[in-house]
Amino acid sequence: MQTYKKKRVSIRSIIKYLTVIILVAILLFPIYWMVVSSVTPSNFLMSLPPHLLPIKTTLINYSKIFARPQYVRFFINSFVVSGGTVLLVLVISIPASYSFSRFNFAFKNAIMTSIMSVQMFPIVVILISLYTFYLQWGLINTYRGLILADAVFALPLAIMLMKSFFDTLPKSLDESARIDGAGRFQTLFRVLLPLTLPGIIAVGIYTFLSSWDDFLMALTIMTTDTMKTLPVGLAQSFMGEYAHDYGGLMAFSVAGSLPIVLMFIFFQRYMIEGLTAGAVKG
Amino acid sequence: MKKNANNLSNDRTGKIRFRMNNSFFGFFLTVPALIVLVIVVALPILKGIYVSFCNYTISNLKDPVWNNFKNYIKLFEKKDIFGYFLTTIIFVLLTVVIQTVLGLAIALLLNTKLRGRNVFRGLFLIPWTIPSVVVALLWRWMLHQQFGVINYVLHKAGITDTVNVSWTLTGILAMASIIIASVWKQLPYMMVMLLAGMQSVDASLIEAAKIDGAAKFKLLWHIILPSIRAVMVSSIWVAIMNNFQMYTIIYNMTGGGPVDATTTLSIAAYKSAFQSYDFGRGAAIGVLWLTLLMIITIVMNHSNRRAVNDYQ
Repeated sequence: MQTYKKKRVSIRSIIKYLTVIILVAILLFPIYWMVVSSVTPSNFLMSLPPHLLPIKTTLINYSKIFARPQYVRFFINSFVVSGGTVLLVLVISIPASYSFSRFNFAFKNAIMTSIMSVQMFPIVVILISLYTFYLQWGLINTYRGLILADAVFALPLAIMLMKSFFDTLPKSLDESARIDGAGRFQTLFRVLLPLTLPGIIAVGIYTFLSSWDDFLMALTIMTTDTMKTLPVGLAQSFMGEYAHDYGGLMAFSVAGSLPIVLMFIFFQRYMIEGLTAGAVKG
Repeated sequence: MKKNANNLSNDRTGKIRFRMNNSFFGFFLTVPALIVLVIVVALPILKGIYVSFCNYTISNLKDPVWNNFKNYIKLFEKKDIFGYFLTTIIFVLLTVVIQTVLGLAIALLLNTKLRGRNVFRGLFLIPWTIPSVVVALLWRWMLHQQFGVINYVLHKAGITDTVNVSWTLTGILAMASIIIASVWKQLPYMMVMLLAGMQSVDASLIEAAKIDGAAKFKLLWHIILPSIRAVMVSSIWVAIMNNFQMYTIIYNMTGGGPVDATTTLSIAAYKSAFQSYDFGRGAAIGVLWLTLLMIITIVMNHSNRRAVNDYQ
């Protein structure tokens, strides 16, 4: 009787594991296909039936990309813009979230609500006028201009995440720091920030991800080829010379995704902790 | 005079002085955030609302001219705007509903006793990290009319009778293709949020229900769903907002076509402004879109005050 029950349970768990594995396989298949296509010579790619396993593996698609200084430039631009955005977001969001977590002041809730509602405003409408402002201020085709715009749209989530990390630290920490004679800035930088390091990492990576992903603002603000970021460069190469070279396009896509995917795998723990910390407050 | 009086009372009880300074300090810390917000969001939005009432094109970039609601009148006369609204609502509704249902199902599966749950969760999240442009180009390649792997699989499985289905030829297929690509990218995030919500549900509650002999479905309906309601509402709200903004995947997969079949509000506004250089029309589409979002937010806030407040 007991062995029968045990067996039934294990069959059910086998089915469960199989379901999970099949689901993972389906969801990851597009990524597998992107990688396989990127190492397949074009003449094998454009044939039926599709080669589900890689054949005649080649890196020629990759060498075509990195031989072009213009394409390397897209990568550099993306790194500069995303890195700059992360810095700016941290500089702005750490004080603001510290304030929302620790202090009370007039209009605090109104200020928090207005920051959170940023993601509601149609980016396109903002871009129409921002574009003309940027023309006047000379910010079109500058790193500064795109970094500023990217940062503002990453701010709401950054502030919300950082605030939830500050909220987890007991207020007694601030008090004992003050008794030891630390000023408010010292309390923040010496006592609280080291303890919120996981939060800072989560915010940094999230911001890097969203800035690396940005297409619309980069498309509008960066109009010269030398200033374009990776997503825009990638999309426009598709309209142009890669129109039928899917091997090259997929190699370009893999190269453009790799920094982000590696970063995610490396910092996965912080990312998931950070993403879910804000949403699940009990 | 008044300032002096304040100082006096502060000196008497150090505590009051401490608190007053704190509230100013607290506000001071938010100033950088407020400044960038005003520059990049508030000013452009206000100017955007103003120019939506103006004749404002590439030829008069410096001075928009008031034109008596002509942008709006034309949008409603030509009835374009109704199509954009309908397309947007279909896209947002289907994308959000599908990812919520699938996300919930996968989260329930991962919330059971499962070895290596964190590894699976990490694997499930990878599509979420792929840049949107890559998502669009990758799905374009997989749905390629002649050599697309999906057409091949569908044909082999006997679902389609030709191996050359053109996913950009008819409106329905084009809409399906942008929804599939968007769901693929967004599903992992939704799933992880719902899973996190489930993991914070009191385990003793579930045990008690199991001992009482509650059926699986009842357990889901009466215990799990109510407990994750706050997370669910806030994740759905974020998904709705994001998909209203969706531009990258649609533009790079269908370009809004065939004809206007996948032209959502965001595609229509951008095309008017930056391809036809009719900034006034683009802004007017945006303002109507903003009005719709505000109505949705008020309704959601009203019916779900607690959950939305929790998110904020």
